[in-house]
Amino acid sequence: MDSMSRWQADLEETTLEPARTTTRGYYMLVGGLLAVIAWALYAYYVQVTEGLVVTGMRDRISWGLYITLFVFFIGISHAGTLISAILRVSNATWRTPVTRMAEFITAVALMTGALFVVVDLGRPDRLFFVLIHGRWQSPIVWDVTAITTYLTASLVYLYLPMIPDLAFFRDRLRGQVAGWKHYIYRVLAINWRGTGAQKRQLHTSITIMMIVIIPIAVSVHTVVSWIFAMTLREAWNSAIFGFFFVAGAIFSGIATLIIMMAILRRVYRLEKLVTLRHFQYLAYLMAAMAAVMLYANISEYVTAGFKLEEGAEFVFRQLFVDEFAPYFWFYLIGGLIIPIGMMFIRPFRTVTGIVVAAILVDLAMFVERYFIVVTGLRAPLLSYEPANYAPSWVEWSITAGGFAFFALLVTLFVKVFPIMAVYEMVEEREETAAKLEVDMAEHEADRLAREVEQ
Amino acid sequence: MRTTVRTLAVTLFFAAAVTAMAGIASAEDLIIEVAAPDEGILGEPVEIAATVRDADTGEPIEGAEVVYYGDASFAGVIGEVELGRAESNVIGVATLQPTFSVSRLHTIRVELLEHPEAEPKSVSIPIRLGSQLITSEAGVSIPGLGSWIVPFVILSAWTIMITAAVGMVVIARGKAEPGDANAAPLESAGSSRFNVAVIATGLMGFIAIGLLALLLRGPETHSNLNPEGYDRTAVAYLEASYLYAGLGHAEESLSGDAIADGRVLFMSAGCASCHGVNAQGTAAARSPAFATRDWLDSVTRSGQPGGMPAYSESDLSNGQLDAIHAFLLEARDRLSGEAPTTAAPTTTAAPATEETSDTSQPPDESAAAVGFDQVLPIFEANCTGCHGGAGGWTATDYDSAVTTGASGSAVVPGDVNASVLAQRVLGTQTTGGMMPPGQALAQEDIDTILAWIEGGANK
Repeated sequence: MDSMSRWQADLEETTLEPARTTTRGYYMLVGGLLAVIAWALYAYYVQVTEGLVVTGMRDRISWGLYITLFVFFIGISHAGTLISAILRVSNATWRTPVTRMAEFITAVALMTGALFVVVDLGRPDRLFFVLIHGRWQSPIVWDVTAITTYLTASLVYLYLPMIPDLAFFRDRLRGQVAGWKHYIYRVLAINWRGTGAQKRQLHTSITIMMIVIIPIAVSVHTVVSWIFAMTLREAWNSAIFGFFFVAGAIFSGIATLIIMMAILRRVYRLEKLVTLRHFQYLAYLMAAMAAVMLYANISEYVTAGFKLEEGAEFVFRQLFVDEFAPYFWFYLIGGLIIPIGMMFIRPFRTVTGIVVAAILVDLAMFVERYFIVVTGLRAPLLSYEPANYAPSWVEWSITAGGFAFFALLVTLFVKVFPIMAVYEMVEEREETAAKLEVDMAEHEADRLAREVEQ
Repeated sequence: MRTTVRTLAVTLFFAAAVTAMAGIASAEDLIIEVAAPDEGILGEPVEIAATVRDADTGEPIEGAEVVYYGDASFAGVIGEVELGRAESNVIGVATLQPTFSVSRLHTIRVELLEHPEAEPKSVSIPIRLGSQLITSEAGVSIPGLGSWIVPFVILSAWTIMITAAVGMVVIARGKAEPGDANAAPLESAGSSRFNVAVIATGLMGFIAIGLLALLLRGPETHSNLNPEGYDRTAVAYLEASYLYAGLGHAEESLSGDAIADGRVLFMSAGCASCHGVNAQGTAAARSPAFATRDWLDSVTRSGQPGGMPAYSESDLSNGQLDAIHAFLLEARDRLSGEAPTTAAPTTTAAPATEETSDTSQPPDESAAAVGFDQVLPIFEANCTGCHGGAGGWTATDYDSAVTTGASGSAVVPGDVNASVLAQRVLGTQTTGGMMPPGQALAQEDIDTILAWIEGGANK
């Protein structure tokens, strides 16, 4: 029991630390991110005033980096669902130290991703038309519906398990932090006092959400894939697209979570709580998803390539041997095969090795989103010359701004909110301890019984 | 021959008689008055009444046939289409009930069929949106399965989510139970004026209702109606104006190779949108593949009635036109190559003069016997589709056939070598392409034409 309370005090102190003290490096980071965002806002101002002509997108290839980023960010938003909901449903106890971060990545990535749909509009004011003239036959409206639902669900799902931790912050940080910060804890902790009724209700609500969020998350990335697959384009003409996108989303979600965990672990000294074991478990999951992706690719390209219907040849040529071959082979070898291989080799199963694999995976998945978008549009519909696409400085600037926005939200969040799910971790540890006691008691009883028999 | 003349004479007599009688009839001076409702509804019949009266006496005229025209445009061509006809009744009123399929201001012109001199009247009717016009059936109708599933699924998901959110409200009430000895007292929890749980749950309910409303408000089909206040780009398929924009080009990467550049320019200047991407011609415009450089210049610079826009030198420079022409020449070869040309002499086989004299030998013997009445059926079967008076050579009648041409007369009587017509059907021309494009005439038709020219191009 003594070790339990020492462990808990350690956990509490580690979680409270970021909210209590702020270093100069933190302000510099926030300042840097704000500068990047300011530059992106200027680029966006240029785009809105002069039109989409300042981008590299034209009539032939009308989607580029923005839609790539949209798909990518919606993809990594699946981190939270997988780690948090699926692992919670399957009662994987090792998950608790990473759930909060995973859930937060979900919410932030969704906001960033949805933003890029607006950025891709030449007339963002017409977004309102989706609401007043929306027609549900349009995949765009499916997207709006699915993403709104998913964002709401993931915010609720982020918030619910955080209520006891917010109450903990409210009680422990009184007088230690700025008034506004404490006010936030007071308001958001919604009178949590840890009563039996509150605990039961919280448990019920979390259970409902963890189940309902899984089909919602799957539907979101399926619908995102349908934006492509429902279009009459050779490269996107695939029934496997929904599955493929969902698998890819979970895949890149895990990779992003690994990278984020490594950064936060280093910055906020979480080594005791987030251990190599967590990284390894996530890395195994990532390798398993890489195998799923590999299988999906083989299934997709072998069926299409064997039949090689009219038009498929062009798509195959540009992907496998011509313009997009470096991207494709980097994705397939660097992003799928190498990360799987690394997990078979012991020296790579360190935190550094796993982070390297995760970075490879994220890069590969970004590149994959990019070539799916661009090659699909590049294959000519009529016998015209295939166009080319290269992002302009405006697109690169806004892309940088998007990543900065993502990083800024994460940075601000870890400063204000509890990054460790203290309540759940304590609860889980107590349960394990109790179970251990029961096991030992049973074991003791067995031993006694055997002795009596003898 | 005599029979023909006699028939012609009789026909002319009757035609003159009918015209004279019509003239008498028109002398009674009729007037038309049109009445229409202030507005009509899309897809519903609109009653347009035309009253026919005698101009002097004001008496209603019975049995006058009234024609109704509506304004329309298609692919840049604006004109009138006949909506229908009606006959005036005993009180001189003719009514027609046309149905309109586009929501805009329609102008209907009414005139008397047999009295074109009676002043036609026009009336304008705004047609506003009514109910949805077309509801498409699903391709395969599966019993029990329908669009209701979508709102049902959304509603279910949100109901479950809101159930979970209501849990927050319950937590926020923070009721203590007897067993909660170690629970902190409510005071220390520090309640706030903002009940986040209630606000969040309410917001979720609002979003859920909004999403459902968005889904349920949507029209039931893919048909593109123009909702009021929705300034979408004005593109429609029929009856609404179609803005000609051309086929843009992502990057005009000019390589310096005339044919390749011409192809790019043919696309980027918008030629391809009507003339086809391979200059093969489409339903909207014919193939320009056989145009000479001069002809291309004149048509491109001045435009053509029927939708061909004029391009100034700032739109397309002369150098760019050269490139387009190079592409067209290449396209011509490609198009000619697709059709069997074995029956006809080819342009490349031998020097042009020899070829011409060789093939013009046989017609010499029967030259005198060939008249225009033998040539005209060939023209009508092969040429007048394009050469019907739109420009260049006109093949519809004798006078035009021997006097017109893109550059001077296409027919030089008695001189096969100098006649552009002969060169074109043989394929020995120095500029432009062989005629008809794609497939040469049958040898006997070529012989007939050559014999006709050789024999002096007689009437």
